[in-house]
Amino acid sequence: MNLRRVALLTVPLLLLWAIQTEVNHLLSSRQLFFFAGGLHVAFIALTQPFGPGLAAVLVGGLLCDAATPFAFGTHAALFGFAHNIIFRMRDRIPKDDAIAATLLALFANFGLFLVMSALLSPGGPAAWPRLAADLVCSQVIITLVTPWFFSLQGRLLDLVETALALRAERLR
Amino acid sequence: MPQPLPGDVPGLTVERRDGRDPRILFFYLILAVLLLLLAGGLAHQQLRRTDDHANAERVQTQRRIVHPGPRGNILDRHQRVLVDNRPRFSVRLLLDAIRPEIRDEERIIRRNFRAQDEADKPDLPTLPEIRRLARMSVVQRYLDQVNRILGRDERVDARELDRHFTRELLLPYTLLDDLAPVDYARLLERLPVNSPAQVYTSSVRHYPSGSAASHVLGYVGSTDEVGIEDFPGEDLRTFKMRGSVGRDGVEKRHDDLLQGEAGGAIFRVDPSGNRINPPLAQVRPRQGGNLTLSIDLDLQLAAERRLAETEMAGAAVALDVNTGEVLVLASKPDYDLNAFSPKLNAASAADITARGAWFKRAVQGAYKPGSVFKVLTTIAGFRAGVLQPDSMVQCPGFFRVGNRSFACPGGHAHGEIDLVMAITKSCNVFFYQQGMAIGPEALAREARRFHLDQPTGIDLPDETRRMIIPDPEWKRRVTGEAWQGGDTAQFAIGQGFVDVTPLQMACFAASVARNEVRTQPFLLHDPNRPRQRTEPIGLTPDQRAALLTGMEQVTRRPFGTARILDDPRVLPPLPGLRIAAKTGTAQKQTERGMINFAWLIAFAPVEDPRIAIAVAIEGDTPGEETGGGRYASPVAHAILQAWQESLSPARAGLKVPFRSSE
Amino acid sequence: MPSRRFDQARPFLTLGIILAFWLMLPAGLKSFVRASFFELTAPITLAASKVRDLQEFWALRSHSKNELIEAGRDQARINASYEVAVQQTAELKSEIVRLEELLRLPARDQYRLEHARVARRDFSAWWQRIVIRKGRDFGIPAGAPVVFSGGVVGRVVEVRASTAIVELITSPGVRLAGVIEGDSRPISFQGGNNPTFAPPTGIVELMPLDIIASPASPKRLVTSGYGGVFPPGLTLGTVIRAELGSDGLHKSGEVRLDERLGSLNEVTVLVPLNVETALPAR
Repeated sequence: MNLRRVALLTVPLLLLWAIQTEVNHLLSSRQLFFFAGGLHVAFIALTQPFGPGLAAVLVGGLLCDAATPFAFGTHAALFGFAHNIIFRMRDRIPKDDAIAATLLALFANFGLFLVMSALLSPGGPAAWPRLAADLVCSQVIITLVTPWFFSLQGRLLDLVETALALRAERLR
Repeated sequence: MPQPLPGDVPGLTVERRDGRDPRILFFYLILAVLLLLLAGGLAHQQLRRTDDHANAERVQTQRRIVHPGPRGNILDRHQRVLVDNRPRFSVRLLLDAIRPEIRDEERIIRRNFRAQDEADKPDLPTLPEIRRLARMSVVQRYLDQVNRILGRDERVDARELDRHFTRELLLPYTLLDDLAPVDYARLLERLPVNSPAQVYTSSVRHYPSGSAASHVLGYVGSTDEVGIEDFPGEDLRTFKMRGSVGRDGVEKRHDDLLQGEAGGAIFRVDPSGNRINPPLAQVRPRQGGNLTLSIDLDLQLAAERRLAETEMAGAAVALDVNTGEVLVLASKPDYDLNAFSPKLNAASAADITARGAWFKRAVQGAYKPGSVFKVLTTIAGFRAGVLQPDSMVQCPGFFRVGNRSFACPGGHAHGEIDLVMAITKSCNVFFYQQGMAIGPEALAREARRFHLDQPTGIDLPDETRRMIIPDPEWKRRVTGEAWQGGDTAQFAIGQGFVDVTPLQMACFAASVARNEVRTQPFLLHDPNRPRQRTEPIGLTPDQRAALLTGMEQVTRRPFGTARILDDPRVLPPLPGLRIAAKTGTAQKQTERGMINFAWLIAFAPVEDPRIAIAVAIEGDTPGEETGGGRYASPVAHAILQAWQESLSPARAGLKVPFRSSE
Repeated sequence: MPSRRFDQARPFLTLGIILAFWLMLPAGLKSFVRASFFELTAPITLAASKVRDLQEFWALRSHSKNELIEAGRDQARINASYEVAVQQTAELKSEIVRLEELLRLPARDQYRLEHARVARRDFSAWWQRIVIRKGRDFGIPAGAPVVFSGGVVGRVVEVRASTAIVELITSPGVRLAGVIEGDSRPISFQGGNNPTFAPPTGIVELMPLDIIASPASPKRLVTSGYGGVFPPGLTLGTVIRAELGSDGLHKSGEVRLDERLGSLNEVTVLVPLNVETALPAR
């Protein structure tokens, strides 16, 4: 497995995690929550080779798991599962279309949110309005940031690959 | 492998299949049948059995909890609480939730046994033994957690745990019961929210006055029969909290009214079995109806206190003369009802048995009435025409019937004595003579007229039916012997075969006070209960005046047998209260010797009787003079004093139900 | 054909193998990995928090001198009133000590106050937690109560090298023994639902039947001190609804919590001086 690629894919996830926590810090006074699970998996599953992609997604999941009160590995397992589903379907999804990418991230996020709620929901029907508000909030933010985040990940990979190619050429 | 067809170019194999090949068709058929079966099965599962699956899912993810409704309160006639409920906190373990832990523990136990050296390896326990060990160990682990929080050192009772697992597996196992508020507060805060050990509440009876009226109130026992009507989810896993059922006293007699309506809730549980709030359905339990007794707590406590001071067994009953409502129904020894809450332990039960405190002397004790029966003999004499208000009798201190001699108390000769003085001094000879003149049948007839031969029908279980009003026919039937003259003499002074209960004598006193023949006692208070009206006794005014004068003189110095009621050196005076009474001292031959029973019946005020009292005290020392005047009078005095105080406006005002100032 | 089918299933098979391997890992190792991941992100959390502080600092710097003078004057007044309160508290404390000695009462639990900045707030429908900027480095123990000016914040649930995670009382996983102010009977308080754009709420159970509370006449719920974790008298919230509970012996109700819990910046950890006895074993 290309560990350098795994590391390269993990860096934007770390950044995404940091942004997510900051956004949640700001939203907390309004009792809202931003869940970005879909963004964690969408780009990687759509564009990256299976092995490094899955590894990066699992690392990203563990990152999210580290500070949550539930079984360590819950996010990682769900992200891995979502990654595999998208990976299976990715031949039928246009990779360079921003709208398609955004829709994919939204779907993935929706699915992950529902599964998380089913697994962790503490309040039964009384908590549904809050869950719905969190979901809407998450989807809106994801719609806004997906093109940027996809392009960030793409550019980062291009940049590093170009730099590595240039270095290889110089060495040759 | 398909064969090349004739005419085909050699070397070129073309794969051809004939669709009508019977073997292929056969396989298609089988495939089609299988597919059909699959589709049918799917359709059956998805369409026809949708409800079953939904139901299975529901049963798996929902839990039903049934709480019995709290019992109604029991109040005295002034709405003061005699019995109410108090919450009882316990920490219980949900056995469902610890099942995986028990399975793990079983594996560990088995592994540990197998891992021991071959040399000293004990025999592997049987599966039930391993299971028992495993659940003991897991339950003790949770109890240790509770012990750490509360600073205790409790151990799991292995037998109780086994019993619970075999009989009450669905119910949570109680680790610790009857927790103090501070304890359950600590547990609330320190036990994890999703722990299988949780704090539960239940309702137990609370008796603010301890043993007061314990024989009237009775007690409750626990029951699993907690029904909840019209509440869905009978097929769900249900946790039923134990309910209570009346076992004695009014708790038993009025169980239907006091019993609350059970409530319950259906909760969805998450995959770990934790309940999810709020409940899917909820029926709130409803408290049972309140019961207002006719008992007056002040009078009851006064009577019990005074009875207890005699340090002898006894009973006291007081009735409202007009309505028949029971104001006091005391019996000693009795028991502290709080010992029954939540459960009577073996030591307390043994103590109650040893003291003879189960016996409700007021309604179950059939005693010889002794001289208090002379009131009835007087009435019978008047009605039979053998006794006049001015009748005189010569009392030499004894009375001879055949070859038997019957003495006045202490062999005292009263000389020439009239009716009033005979009642006042309780002259036996006077009433022996009257009894002989009246005859046993007329005496018995008069007693039956006052319903002394049958239970009063009070609203309590276990009233005795062992009261006896004898006559020659009765004696022949029961003993096979003929009635003797001495029997009549004994009967006339309440000795011999006659047996009555203190409650009956209180009813008799109330009847005499009202100048009627019957008083029906009531234990339930009805503020609008009408005055009882039954057949008049049938005395002339002179006859009644003589009887009442005699009875009033009983409570007066210098001759009255209950003169201590009029002696401020012995008992506090009861200002302005004219009391009519009759004392009695009955004898009973026991294995230990002759035992005296002290009696007193009374009513007051003489001019307008409102309260009637009967007191009976069992002597405890053979040969000791346990006279009614000396022992029973103070009890009646205590009741009358409390009654008089309750009539004073200042005290009466206190009993007006509290109203908040707005 | 079979190889293609296997190709399609391979991602899931791989994931399945990884997850199976993960499940079999010892709990200690997982705990170590979890702590490692947390510590990996801790510098980011702390840096972001400090950047926010800096941002706040510069925002404050932009105030005019007049505003600062006014704020300074207000501050001086508040300080003066606190000075008086501090003196009164000192006097009351010495009185308590005197009475304890006189009556031979055991001393009350005592706490060291550890003020901490909130590095991160993380409020979802699934959990309600904050991360504070003090951890093992300041001797914060797990289970320690956390308070703020409006009352109880919650309880420390995890302690890391330089941070600690606090579970808020708004979280359904937190339960406390409270009392209605002026009453002494313990009541169970538990975090409840946290609706959007509204103050958080909790639920109360085991409330005595004679307590009446409604939005028009709310009752203040404070810590009981019985549980031994929280000192008595700290505000939990206000009971705004109370109705007969399912056991028929108590009332259940709703508690409105302080909405400032959603925007906490500074909290105080009450570190018991005797940690062993004061905090629940976790």
